[in-house]
Amino acid sequence: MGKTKQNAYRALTALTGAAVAMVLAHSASALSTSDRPASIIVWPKIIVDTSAAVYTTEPTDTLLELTNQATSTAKQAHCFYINANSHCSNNPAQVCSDATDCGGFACTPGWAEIDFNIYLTRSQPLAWYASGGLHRGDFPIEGPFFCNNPLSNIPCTFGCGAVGCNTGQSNLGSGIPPVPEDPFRGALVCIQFDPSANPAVPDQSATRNAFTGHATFLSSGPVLDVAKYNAVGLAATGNAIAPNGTDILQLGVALDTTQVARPPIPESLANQEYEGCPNTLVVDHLFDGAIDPLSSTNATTSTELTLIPCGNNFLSQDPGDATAQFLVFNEFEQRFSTSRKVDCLLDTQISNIDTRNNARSIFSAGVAGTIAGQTRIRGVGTSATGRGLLGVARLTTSDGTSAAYNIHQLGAAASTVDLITLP
Amino acid sequence: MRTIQGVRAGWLLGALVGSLVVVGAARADVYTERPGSILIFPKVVRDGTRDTTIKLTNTNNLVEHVHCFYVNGAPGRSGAPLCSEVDFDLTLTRQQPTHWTVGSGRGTIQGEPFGADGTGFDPGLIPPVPTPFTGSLVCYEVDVNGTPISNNRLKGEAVLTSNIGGDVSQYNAVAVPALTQDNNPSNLDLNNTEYGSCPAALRLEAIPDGSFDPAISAYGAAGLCVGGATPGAICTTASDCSGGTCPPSSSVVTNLTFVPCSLDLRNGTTATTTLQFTVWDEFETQLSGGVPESFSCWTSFNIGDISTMRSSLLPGGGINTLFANVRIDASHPVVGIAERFSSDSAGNVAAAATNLHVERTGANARITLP
Repeated sequence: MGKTKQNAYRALTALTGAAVAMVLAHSASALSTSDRPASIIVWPKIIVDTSAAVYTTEPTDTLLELTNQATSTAKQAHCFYINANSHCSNNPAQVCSDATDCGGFACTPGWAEIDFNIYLTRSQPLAWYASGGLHRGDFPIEGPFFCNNPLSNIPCTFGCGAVGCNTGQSNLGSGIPPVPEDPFRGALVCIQFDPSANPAVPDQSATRNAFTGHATFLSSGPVLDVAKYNAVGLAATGNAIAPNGTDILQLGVALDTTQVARPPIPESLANQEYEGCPNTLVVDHLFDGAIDPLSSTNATTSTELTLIPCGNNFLSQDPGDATAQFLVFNEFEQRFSTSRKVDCLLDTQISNIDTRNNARSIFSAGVAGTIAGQTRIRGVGTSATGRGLLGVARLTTSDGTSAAYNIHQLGAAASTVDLITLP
Repeated sequence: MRTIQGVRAGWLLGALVGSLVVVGAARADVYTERPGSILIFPKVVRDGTRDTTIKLTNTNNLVEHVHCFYVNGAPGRSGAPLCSEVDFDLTLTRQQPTHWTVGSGRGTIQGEPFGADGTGFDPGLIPPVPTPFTGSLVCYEVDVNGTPISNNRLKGEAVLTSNIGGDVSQYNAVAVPALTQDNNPSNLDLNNTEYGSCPAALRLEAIPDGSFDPAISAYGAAGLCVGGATPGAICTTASDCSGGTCPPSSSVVTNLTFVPCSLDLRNGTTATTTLQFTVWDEFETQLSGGVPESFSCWTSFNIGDISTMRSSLLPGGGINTLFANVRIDASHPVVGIAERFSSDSAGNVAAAATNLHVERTGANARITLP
């Protein structure tokens, strides 16, 4: 009888261990997301070139959409434009993509951020063109004590008649600047804050994962082109931000204790505040220079890849950096590899990742030998901001058309956390 | 001693129950950016104006066998979708990407020239679809005997290419993760036990049909001159019209496509799914109701077909702002995509597809295999 009890007890212990392991295994698989609401929303690629001067051949702008999916509570988005423009060394006011834009002088990489707040009412969608932003007077619900729709820009003191006076949630306090330069290449990061706290704090409340976002590139000229992708989200866990200080947001769980030794020094790297960035990104693509199998004009294709580090120190203006390791597979199961530094932002045609000579690249159809390829990207490095990467890809054709798409991912980065330090 | 053991056993039992509760709460749902065991491509088109390229990749370091079937959603003689299926088998070597165009399929021709379409290890004989074809593609992992297995290593994308101008539009296939080994090879149960659950509510952010696109209005062929020296000429602003005006004529249309997660491919019957739409404009105004959409195995429609999702610039339209947030509630679990079509006054049309956001998952669904 005693032995039976002991066996039952052991079985229960084993069963419990297995169940706990299942829970841990499941929670460890949480990653960034582009099809669920989240608390940190990242648009890895924003292009504005309304004169088609540097980055595009047609006037191009980016429509940015941000929606509060919380059905009853207002939310605050604290957002950061990351300006990744390079400038000519002989003319710092001139934006360049490489030295040829500078007459042979150096094209110096840059990194700068500007931040701003957006207040979104319940279930409210908000959108703006990156070139213009949204100013006072542009927002749908300017503030309390303004009339209700459709007189929402008229103060109640003027009289609202039958539509009534809004005394509830509003966009008061919001201001979205235009991107700081045109041409502009960069990213946008928005962090959900709880505006009911005083001062507002990163939102770990029950309605913490409420934001969704999209970006749409629109080029308008002889060829009209539209390309759209979902912003990448990182879900908040509900754990308090406090252990690391409310200004340091921790993405993922730390197992790499050496990261503690570098500034900024988090008090507790075990406190996961947001889901971690993925260990591996997986991009399916057509190799550059491949003829589109469906093109009636034998148009060739290429793929633009944009990667940004998950972590950034906006306080000390220390951009995230990591090294991206690329593994490339063609349809013969043949494997190639290369690597490239991602310092602030990498936005490049894939056949320029490993060489400036596209035709000799491992991402070229002429080298790979097949049309389709798979590229696995892993961020490595020792940066204090972390090493995780997020990104988006864009298929382009020589017809001047394009399609943006979200990148697949595998596994959470287990050895380091990524840190976002707020100013 | 007995008391201590009892406390320990009670604690362990509590931990076990708690763990299982957490497992239950942490539902494994469908994804669009992670590999899975079942892939659903909701929109596959070959209609004479567009064709589709399918990209499918094995992210496993072992060989993957895959069984796929096209579901034909084109209308039959009665106007209802045909819902007929054609199936085929694929084998992908480790980490192998492959592709095919649905209009041509893919043969097993040896010795394709280096760099040509079809070069690479042929995954198997893939039949072309008939013309016109509008429907979906479903693929799932199997073992060498054709029994469903749970490796969660498949990923895919679809590229829709226009015959005119070569416009391209791309979305990620919806991946359903396997949770346990399939114990019934004739069914795939999407019930959060065998496979993840499908959505019952999805979210869309869109420009209401009938609105003008601000970027085309600012930089592109926004309108046609009225009056002045060049009536009918393409213009961006009135200054292009030599004394005339340039009323905007660009437009944005959003198309939605849905596939139910319950498909009876053995009997060719599918329950009717009804979609309900709730719309919030930028003024926080909620609009709901309208005519619900009902369908069987496949549907695709413009949101402007529903008055509550139409700009107030159009007759009967109800949305007063340029952007809207839409919740789509389905009576049965569904997956879907959105595709935005922008057009300018020069007649150019450009499309951009995106995956929908998932708000919540729904009831159990079952794919009954033929």
